[in-house]
Amino acid sequence: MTTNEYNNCVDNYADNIYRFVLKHIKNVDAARDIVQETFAKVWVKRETIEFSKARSYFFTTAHHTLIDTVRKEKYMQDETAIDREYYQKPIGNLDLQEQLEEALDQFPEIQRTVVLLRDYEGYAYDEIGEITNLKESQVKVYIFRARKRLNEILVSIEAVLD
Amino acid sequence: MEKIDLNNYEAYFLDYMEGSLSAEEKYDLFAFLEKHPDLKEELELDVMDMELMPTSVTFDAKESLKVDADKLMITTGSVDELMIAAVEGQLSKSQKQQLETYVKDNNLTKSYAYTKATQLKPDLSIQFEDKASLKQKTGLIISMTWVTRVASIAAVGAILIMIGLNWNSTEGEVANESFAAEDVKSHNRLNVNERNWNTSDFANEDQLLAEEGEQNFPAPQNENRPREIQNELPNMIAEDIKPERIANEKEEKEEDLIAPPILPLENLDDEIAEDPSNQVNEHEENATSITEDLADANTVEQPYRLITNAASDLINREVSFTREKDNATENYVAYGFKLGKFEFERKKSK
Repeated sequence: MTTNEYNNCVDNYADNIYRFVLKHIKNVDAARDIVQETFAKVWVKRETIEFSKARSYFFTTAHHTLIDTVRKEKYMQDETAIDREYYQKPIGNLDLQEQLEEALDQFPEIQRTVVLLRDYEGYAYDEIGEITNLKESQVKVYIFRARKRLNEILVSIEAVLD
Repeated sequence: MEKIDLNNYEAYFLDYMEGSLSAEEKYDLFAFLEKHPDLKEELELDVMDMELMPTSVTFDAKESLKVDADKLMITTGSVDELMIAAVEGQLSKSQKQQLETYVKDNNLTKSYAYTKATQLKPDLSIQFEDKASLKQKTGLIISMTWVTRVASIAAVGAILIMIGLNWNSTEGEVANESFAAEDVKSHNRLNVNERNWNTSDFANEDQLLAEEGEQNFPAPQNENRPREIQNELPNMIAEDIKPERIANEKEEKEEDLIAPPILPLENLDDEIAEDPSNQVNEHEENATSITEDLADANTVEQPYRLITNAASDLINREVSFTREKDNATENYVAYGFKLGKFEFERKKSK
């Protein structure tokens, strides 16, 4: 991957990776750090990366960096970084997407990662498996169970559908 | 099979009629019938006459059970998973149509809508603002392959050599000239009119110096010099130094340039002129020291001058490496290294 190709990846994927990380970690500063660290790691290894596979490589690196950060810093417990106003709203009063994301927070981290990669980035099951180091069958199971659970939550709160 | 009794004799009867009882079980059955003769009549019935015969009834909905690649088996137990599969894009167009038909026919529209709603959508308003900090500059990058590394090392080495050569060719020449001038002066002082000194005619020294145009030797005020010193010193100096000086002039090389010993001839004249009596001892000491030095006959060399000169020029400090050679044994007896104000010396023990 050349320098120009790398810079193109910055333009194309920085926002996506940032959203993906922010939905997990819910801390703006930590998410920025993870994004920068992700791109720095990829830059170091750019010569071994094919441009056609760069997107997957970025997300894989971001996922690993995210896991490392969560284990080290435990940002999820940092209440100062959470939008209190956002969390004070009952889930029934949120719009549909907010309700879904609120419900998604209840899921295990790996399941949340899988769903976000599927819905936000449109990755195929095998691609998600490569990023998260899961088998394709495991990915399918996680997604199917997540959809079922989300369906039940929406039904239980009688969410208003568009 | 368990032991026959009033609770299970019918099973024994059926097995007996089907011929599946073992000999032991038959013995138990007959023993049981002996005890219960009223049950014997039941066994004597021809049960096989009541056997059912198969009919020609057929299932007329076989086609609905058949499966092909595009046909969905939608049941109440599988419809939820099929709805999720539709949301995941796992169903073909035909299969999706079948599912929607089933959902409509079974009042599952709302459930299907909730399932569709479980798909998250990214919030595009969330953006990473400082993308510029992630980018790398696209300047000219020279890949440091081994070829360029070798070339750069060779270039640096060539520069050092050129610096060293220039240093030697300019300052070295000046130094050589000064040394040569000194050599000439000393040589002339000692050896031009050697026969005068050999003849111990020290009184003619002023005249000799004047003939050479030398202005540094003032005329001694007291001409009553100890004749022993006058006789001995010039001879020792002339005889011992002369070959070395001639050798230096003829075989002078940069790496073998020998620093000429400094001879206090001018001081010697002054001291003699001031106080001959006291000067005698000093002269003797000087003569002795000079004698001792000369008697050792060690040659001081400065090898690797090219490298030390280049290094000196680079670091702007004096760098020198010397070694002292014993002329008698041809062995190196001492090494010295100087770097700026620091000086290291190693002498070999005899």
